[in-house]
Amino acid sequence: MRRNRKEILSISTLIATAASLILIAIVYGAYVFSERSGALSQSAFDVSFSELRLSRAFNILLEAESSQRGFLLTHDASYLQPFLTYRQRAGAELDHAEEQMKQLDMVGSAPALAQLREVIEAKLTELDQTVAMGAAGEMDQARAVVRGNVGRDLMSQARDIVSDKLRQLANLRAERVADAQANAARLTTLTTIGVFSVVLLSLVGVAQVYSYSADLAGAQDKLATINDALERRVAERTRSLQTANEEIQRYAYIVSHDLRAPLVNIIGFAKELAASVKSIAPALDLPSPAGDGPVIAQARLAVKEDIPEALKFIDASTTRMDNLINAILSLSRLGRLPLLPQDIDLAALTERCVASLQHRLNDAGARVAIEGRLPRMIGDQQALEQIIGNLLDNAAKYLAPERSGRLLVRGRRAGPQVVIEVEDNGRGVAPGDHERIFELFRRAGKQDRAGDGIGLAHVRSLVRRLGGEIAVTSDGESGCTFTVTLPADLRRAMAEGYVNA
Amino acid sequence: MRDPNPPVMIVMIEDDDGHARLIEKNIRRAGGRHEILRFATGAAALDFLLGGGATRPRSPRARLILLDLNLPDMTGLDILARLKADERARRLPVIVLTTSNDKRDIEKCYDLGASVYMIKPPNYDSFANAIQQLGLYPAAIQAPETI
Repeated sequence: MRRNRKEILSISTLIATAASLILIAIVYGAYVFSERSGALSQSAFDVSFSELRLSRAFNILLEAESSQRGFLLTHDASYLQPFLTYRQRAGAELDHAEEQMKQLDMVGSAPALAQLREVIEAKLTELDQTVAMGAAGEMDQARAVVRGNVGRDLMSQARDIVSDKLRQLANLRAERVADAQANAARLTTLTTIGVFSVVLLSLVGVAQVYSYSADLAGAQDKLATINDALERRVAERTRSLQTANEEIQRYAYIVSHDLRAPLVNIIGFAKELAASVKSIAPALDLPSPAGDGPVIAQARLAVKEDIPEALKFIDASTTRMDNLINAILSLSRLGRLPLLPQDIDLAALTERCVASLQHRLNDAGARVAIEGRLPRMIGDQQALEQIIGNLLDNAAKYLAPERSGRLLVRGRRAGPQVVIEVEDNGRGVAPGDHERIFELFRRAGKQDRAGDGIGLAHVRSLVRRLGGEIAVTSDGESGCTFTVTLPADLRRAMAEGYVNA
Repeated sequence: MRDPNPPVMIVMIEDDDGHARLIEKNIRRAGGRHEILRFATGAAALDFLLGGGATRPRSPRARLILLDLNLPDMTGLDILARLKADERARRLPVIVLTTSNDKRDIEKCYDLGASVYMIKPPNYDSFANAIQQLGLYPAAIQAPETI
């Protein structure tokens, strides 16, 4: 079972998002519910306070009545003292209760309270009246009022209203408390669900991580195995390539060596022939006893023109063939070129190449610039000088006549490799010739410059000897860029067997 | 009066007939009347120079050896090594003439004690000069201007 990276990422993201959303929901829910819980508690408290206020107002009325009764019964002024006190407070208490109940916003309580106030006012008037009568000594009259049951009726009316209100308040309080309890229960449920969800998601996450880790470990194992196999195969291939390469080089060496032996004979005997012809020529100019017949004339033509012409062609061809064979020989030797890895300052090396080519560059009217900083590397100085020198020389050789030559060298580090680019604004290389120009004795474009098609083949052999590769990019008109990729550390490449020591 | 250019024996070890002929012609053209004894194989040359056991004693007459490195039966380097290892033959000057311009071959030849290393085709003027330098031509010789 293999999951791709995208899938793993999306599942992880999903879990993380879900967990975050749940946490936010819990926090928000807790906030909402606790706000509500606070409001409900406050409201329940308000109801209780209203009950208290209302009871107190009624109690005061009761106290005032019993004080009045005591005074009328005993005519003792000490009974009158509480009455006066309560009488004074009754109005205020009723105000308080009314105010408190208004806050509760109880539907239909305003008319009841107004009625209660009327009843209480009437009761208080009755009490004042009777107490005033008692104080004036008209005890009997006062008692008659009391006995008239007006006060009692008023009192029971007040009691009815108060108890009715109190019942309503008690119901309201019970309602609010129930609400608060339900609210608390909901909060608990929410928290429980949230906690469970988070725990569940954590478990899913842990399971995912565990499963990914297992997958990862498995994949790593597999990768290691594949890597090992790959490395073995690369090493095998490298070895067999090296063997094949060595064989080709040996072959090239032997072939070119053996080709030279007959060539030496052709060169040598052509020279002998030239010497012989030279010695014949004066003899043909001597007066002949047979006279200057057509035979002698033909012989003269042969000796003075035909044979020298033939020898000239033989000489030109053998010289060229000798050069070609020498090129193959030197190319085959590059494969065995002993490498000396050392710390290379590419900028300094390039400047040395430019300095040694200065004369040629001046003749071609080419300017060389190093763009940016060239990296340092470990390489073979001689080989690198030949590579860069040859590329610059080549660029200077094939400039476009209509614009002044401008060569650019730049370089950068790319992982374990160094990339060196030599760019020019010359005539370029046609897209079909990008591979061909690196082949031995092959040339491309207008053949108006002397050359045997050796330079770039030589460069590529050197680059490959160093374990690198070379390529050219060009539109075939406005110049070209040669890109050389080399191991940044030749010493390591040699130690690891990717480059022959 | 003593001959200022006494003919000596030059042993040429060369398998290519054409090369052998060219070398001989150029020695002759430079005025040398030396006896030139050519061997086409290394074994025959070594037999002659070092002696092939009791039946064929070594020749004491050879004064100069011209050696090709590319022979059918053994390499010129082997022959050079054998000669230089021999007590009596090791002072014989050896001119190596070969088609190879391989730096390592050249170095090996000089290491083994070759006197001169020349790449074929040699410039025959310097070839004659080399032979002269090796003491075969006393200073009084005037090389005929035949080339």
